[in-house]
Amino acid sequence: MSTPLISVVDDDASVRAATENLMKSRGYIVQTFASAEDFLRSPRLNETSCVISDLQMPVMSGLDLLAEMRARGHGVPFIFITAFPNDRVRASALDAGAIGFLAKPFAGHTLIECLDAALQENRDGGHT
Amino acid sequence: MHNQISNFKRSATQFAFGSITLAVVTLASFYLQTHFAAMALVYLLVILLFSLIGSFVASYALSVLAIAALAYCFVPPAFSLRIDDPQALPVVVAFLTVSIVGTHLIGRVRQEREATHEAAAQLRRGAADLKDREKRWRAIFEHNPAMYFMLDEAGTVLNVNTFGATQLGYARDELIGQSVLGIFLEEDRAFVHKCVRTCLEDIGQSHTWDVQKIRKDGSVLWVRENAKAMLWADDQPIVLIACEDVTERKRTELALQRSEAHLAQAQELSHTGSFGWNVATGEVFWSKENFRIFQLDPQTAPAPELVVERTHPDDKASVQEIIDRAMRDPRDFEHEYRLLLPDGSVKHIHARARATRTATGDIEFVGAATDITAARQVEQQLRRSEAYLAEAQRLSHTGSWSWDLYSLDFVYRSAEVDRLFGFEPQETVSIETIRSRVHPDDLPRLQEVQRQAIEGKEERFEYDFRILLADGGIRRIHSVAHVVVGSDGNVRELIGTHMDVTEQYAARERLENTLAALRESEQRFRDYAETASDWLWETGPDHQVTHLSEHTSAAGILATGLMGLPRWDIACDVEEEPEKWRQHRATLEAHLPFRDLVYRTVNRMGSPIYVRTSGKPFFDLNGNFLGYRGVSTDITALIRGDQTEQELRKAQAELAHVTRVTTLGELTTSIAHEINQPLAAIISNADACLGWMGRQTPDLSAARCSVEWIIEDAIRASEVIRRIRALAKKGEIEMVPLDINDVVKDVIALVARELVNHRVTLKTKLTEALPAILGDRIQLQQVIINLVMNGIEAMDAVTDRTRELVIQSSEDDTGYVQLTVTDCGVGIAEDDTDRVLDPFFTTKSSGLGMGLSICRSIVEAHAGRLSVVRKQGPGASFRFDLPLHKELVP
Repeated sequence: MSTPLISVVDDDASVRAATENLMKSRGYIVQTFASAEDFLRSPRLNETSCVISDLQMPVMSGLDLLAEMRARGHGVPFIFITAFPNDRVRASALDAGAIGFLAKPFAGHTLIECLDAALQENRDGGHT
Repeated sequence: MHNQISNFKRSATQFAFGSITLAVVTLASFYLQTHFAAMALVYLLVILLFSLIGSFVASYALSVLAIAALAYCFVPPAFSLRIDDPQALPVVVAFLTVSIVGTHLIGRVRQEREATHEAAAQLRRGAADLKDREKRWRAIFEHNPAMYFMLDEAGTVLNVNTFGATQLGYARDELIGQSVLGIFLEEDRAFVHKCVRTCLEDIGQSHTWDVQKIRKDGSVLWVRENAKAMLWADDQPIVLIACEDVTERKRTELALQRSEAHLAQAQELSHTGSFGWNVATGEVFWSKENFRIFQLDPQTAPAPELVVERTHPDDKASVQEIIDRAMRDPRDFEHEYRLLLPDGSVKHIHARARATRTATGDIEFVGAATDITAARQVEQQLRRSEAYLAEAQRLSHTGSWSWDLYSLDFVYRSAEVDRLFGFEPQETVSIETIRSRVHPDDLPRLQEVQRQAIEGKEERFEYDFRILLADGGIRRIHSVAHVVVGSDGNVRELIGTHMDVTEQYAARERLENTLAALRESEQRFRDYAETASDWLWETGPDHQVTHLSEHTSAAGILATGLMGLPRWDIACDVEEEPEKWRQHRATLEAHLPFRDLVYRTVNRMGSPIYVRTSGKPFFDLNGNFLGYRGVSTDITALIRGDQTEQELRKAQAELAHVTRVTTLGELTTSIAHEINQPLAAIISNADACLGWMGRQTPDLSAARCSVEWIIEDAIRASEVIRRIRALAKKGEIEMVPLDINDVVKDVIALVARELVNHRVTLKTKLTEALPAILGDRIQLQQVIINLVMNGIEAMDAVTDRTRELVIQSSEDDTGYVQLTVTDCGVGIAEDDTDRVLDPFFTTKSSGLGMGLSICRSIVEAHAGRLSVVRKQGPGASFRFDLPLHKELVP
């Protein structure tokens, strides 16, 4: 099993860089995108093992991205991170099939645990 | 011993065979009747013959035997040793002499020959031995597991052992005749050359050095070389080098060095010094970082007393106690204290030590001291950030809450909610208690609004109500809330904010009253202006009134009985403004004309009035001063109007502040977001930093980089807080030269999240290098925020096109800078265009209708104008024009 590729989508440059830094320090391979549209254009879309995405982004939100990915037939697990959490958003994110929902600021190990769970599920369940 | 025995055997054998031979010869001579001389000759021959065998003693004994035989057998009478015949005596003597000399001579000759043989044999043995030894040395040279090289003066390899050549991956022939430098790294060649030179200059002295060699396949090995120069047979110097492969040792050494360097660097990076302290011997070890933390010279002898010496006076006692206790009772310890360093700085130190037992049984403390100053500062900053958020709620009088509809209790309520309702913090609040605090007139409506919201599962609903305070006062609350739908599809929770708008109402009321007062005063001024007119007066040489025009008393403007009084006796403000009157009297004394003197007096009814007067002196034909003539005007209405206007301005400024703080309340979630983003980045980077340092080989540069990002994000968070504080500040208006683009950029930073949340794309068309305008940064920010928030709200209903907001700045040639905010929302109804900037005009259910009117007041106070721009297509466009900063206009 090769090292999984993690895609981070966040319109905030410093959160993006910090999340990438955290992942890399734990040995993951990471690619980052400033918007959902950029991510959808990525040539390595199919190789992604897990998507960590912000919820509130201009034009295309994290939920829109998840819906688009599912419509395209990608079953890749999604973890949402948001600095604007409330129960309604959390519920709709989990209903839409996200595996994790983290409110910024979150502890690094919380994200790592969530990510490991996502990767485990991806490995067990495979692509739908 | 062996030799002696064999010599003896030989002598005995010689003597035995010699005796037998002599006996045989004697017997034979008896038969043959041989003559005595002949017999002697025969004996002699026998003796000489046997002496050839070797033993001189045996030959000698044989000679004695032969003489005895001669004397006995051949010289009569028998058995006598006497020699009768004198002729025979010489024969006997000659015989004896010849036999002894001959025997001796032969013995010598034989000895010499044997010596020669021996020498030859020894020579042969020596040669064989030498060959053998050379073979052995060569084998040692060849196969000794050390590399040997012989070089000539120029460094050419004269010889190398097979082992050496093989180690380097060469055959011997490939190296011999080549320069030895070829098997060294390019950068080491000068060093090797120097080493060889040193050996040659110092013949016979051995030298040692470590260097790397390269194998034929390019791989490198470390060797320790031991070399010595000596003179060769032809007096030519050669250098002998023996080298030992120390690669493994070197590798261990380098690894050790590296791990020491890693440790030192890790200590430096983590600001952690380590120490050891043997309590029994008093021996103390400090790492380099420890010296750096304590700002001590690494040459200083470390001691626990140095720690106490550096400790902050307030913490000295506790540190001393820890040390004393450690000496009494050797148990692990951990404590935090502060240092006061010579440069005046204060550091926070966290020290931990473990008591261990050394090999000799002593107790030794091994520990680490970490400089946690930065962590403490970040902690403080985080605490401050939280405090700022609470402060923002307090400043904007906005409390947030969440109400559980099942348990009928608060899930969460902020401190500000408690303050608004007058609840104790942590107090359990029943629904009855809440209802009892709400104004009874507002309760039914409030419950109705909530009921509708729950039924309709509304995303957002608003309501206003009043709270009855314990002191009988009233607090007005504007509340915005939304419902939370549970997984069962029912509304489970209400989440909302309560904003205290009491001040807003008060400010609005004051403004309304002031506006009414202004309107009334305007009316009065108009009335007076229409009815009153100026009056004429005359004073004499002593400045006493001599004449007044008729209608003043008829109109009741002036008090009666003014005739004969000087002006300063008529006025009521002489004591209040002595300087004004001193100047006026000086003017009169100098007989100069005066203009627009304003003073206060009373009218006929006793009410205070303000009079403006101007006059000029008049003289007779001879130029003698006669007095003054002039005109006066009642300007009471005008003055009162000015005062009202000042009050109005003050009320407006207050309202502007209240509105600004209200806006902040509306932005609370966005602001929390703006702070949470950098906080998230800070925590992620801090975690990443730990990750980089915790690796098997710590990646220090990545760790350093993470820390730098943490600092950047912390600064970013504090910037947001600075902007909020600036907006919440209720300060004096500060007119300074400003670049309007900078003001726009500050606003964008505050509303960016609001734009994202409402899916609005912001486009800026800012003209570069605009000339400065003179203005108050905070007030102009308020105007722009207001226009932007209005634009965002106006586009909420738009779903069929991109929600785009455009902010444009420009300059025209009439000396004005323009800023335009354009949205593509619902637009403004034709009928409303003229009224939209008026106070209390609003199309929003919750709006006070003050936003745009405040904006207009602010812009007008900046000598500018705010206007609605007619535009093509949907939406609205607002523009304000501000004059350029005068000092900068040529």
